[in-house]
Amino acid sequence: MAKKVWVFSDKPALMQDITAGVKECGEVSVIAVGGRELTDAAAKAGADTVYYLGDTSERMAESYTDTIAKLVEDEKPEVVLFGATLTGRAIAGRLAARFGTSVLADAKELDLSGDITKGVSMVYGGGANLKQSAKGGLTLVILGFGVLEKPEEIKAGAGKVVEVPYVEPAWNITLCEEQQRESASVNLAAAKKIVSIGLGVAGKDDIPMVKELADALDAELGCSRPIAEGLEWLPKECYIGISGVFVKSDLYLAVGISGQVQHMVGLKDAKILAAINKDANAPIMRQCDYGIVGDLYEIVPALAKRLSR
Amino acid sequence: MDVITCYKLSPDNQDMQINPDYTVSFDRAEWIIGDFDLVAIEAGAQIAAMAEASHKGLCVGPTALSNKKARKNALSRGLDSLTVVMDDSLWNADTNLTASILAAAVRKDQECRIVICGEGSADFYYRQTGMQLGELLGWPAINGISKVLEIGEASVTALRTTEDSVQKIVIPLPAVLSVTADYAPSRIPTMKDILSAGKKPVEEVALEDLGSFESKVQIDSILAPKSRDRKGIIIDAAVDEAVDLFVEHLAKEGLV
Repeated sequence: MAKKVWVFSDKPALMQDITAGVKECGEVSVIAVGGRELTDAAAKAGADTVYYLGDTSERMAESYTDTIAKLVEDEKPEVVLFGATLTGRAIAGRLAARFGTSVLADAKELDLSGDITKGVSMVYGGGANLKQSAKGGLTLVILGFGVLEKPEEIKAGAGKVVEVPYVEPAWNITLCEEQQRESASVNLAAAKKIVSIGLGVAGKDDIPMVKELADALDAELGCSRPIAEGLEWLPKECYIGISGVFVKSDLYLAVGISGQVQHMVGLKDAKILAAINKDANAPIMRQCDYGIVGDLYEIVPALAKRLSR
Repeated sequence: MDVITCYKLSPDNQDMQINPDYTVSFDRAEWIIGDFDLVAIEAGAQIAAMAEASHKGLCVGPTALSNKKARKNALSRGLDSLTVVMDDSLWNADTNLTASILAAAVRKDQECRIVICGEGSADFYYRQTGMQLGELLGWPAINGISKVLEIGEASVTALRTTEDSVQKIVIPLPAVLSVTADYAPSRIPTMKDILSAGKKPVEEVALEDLGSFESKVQIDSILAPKSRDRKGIIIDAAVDEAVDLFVEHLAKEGLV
């Protein structure tokens, strides 16, 4: 059954990722808030219809919640998928309350094929997977980057643009100032190869040495939580694990990471897990595909040199 | 004026046991206030102090909430009083159900102008309840609040930390604010805090006195993930040999 599936994200790349991933499931429309160029981006990713609501020069994306609610009421989509960002969560939550439904939050698997949408979310700090079914009617889902499998070749959609008039809300939150903050440009969730560091790395000054290895492998650099929170050697966006990033890379090379469960859940879906650790009994050495026992200060530069040959 | 902070009591994730069929059990788990909710209580205490308001706790969940130690723990962290809504049907309640009950409880307090929620619960971490609660009350609601700067008669000025920016925003009152996990470190209660916590009022409200509620999502299963089968090849050799061996494996996997 072809479903009416809608996609919203305030982050264009995430909107495209979800749109392309859901293309096969039915008639896909994108709710676009932001620059005009979003309509093209949505069509390229597979949107048949793009509802263009307006930009964020004079109001916050969240202020469009009433406009989206009116649109949902009029057009009656079966499923609305929201990118997992603060804004996505805010709008999804308000719509859920408005329409008397719940939200399948942070789905890491999603089944849109039946009448009832089913989703799997990680709960208990990564300790278990919760499988749930929406009870029909409007289904709202929040999902992150790379959850939906994308076809090899992304087919563009018709991209018919529908201009949607603004619905003045009962109340408004006013944005007075906005300061960009430094955020990592890397997207570890989408990275093919990742070299990741843990507390086995003794100092911030040693990071360039590991970065050299990452470059030789054409990999991104990630870390375990203490490196990003606490030591702050790398930005928060770089840490893998519970409440951090979940990766699906082809290769995950853990350097000086012991393998605490809070970290390991974040890389369960890595295809090949390799580890460099001087302790042959570290938990990670019992859970990896390839474990190199040795001093990372010897192995890492030697490996980088060998790979750049 | 009242500031109400909502928090959740949930079984400690560390005490989870995995059964042979991958189902999980919390029979022996201690019920605790999640880290993010401890931060919410601290944020609520600071915000109530700024507004010269009383600070009331609100907790909804199954009968494990009757736990005296957990109540005292919450009350020793800057709450003036506590309201609990207990019913065993609320075990694993979905976000809409929880928000609906919280809304009914908040409506009973005519003096409440600000509701504080944490970033997410320790068990499901859906980060939804605050937003849904605000909408159900018909109040402005916003997430990601990292600092309240000023509380006026009709509005709150606050900082909101998004993925890539810090926004300064003005929120009309009454409002529901979900605060970030790093809003403020939660306090360590002093002996005096703990002793006075025992004397603070706790009100138990029966679920049926708030209305009738239904869940909107059906839980099909909660299972521990099967761990991926890994090859378990350990390379323990001199540096150059180990590196050569490892690169050989990587090549076979098509990774170099």
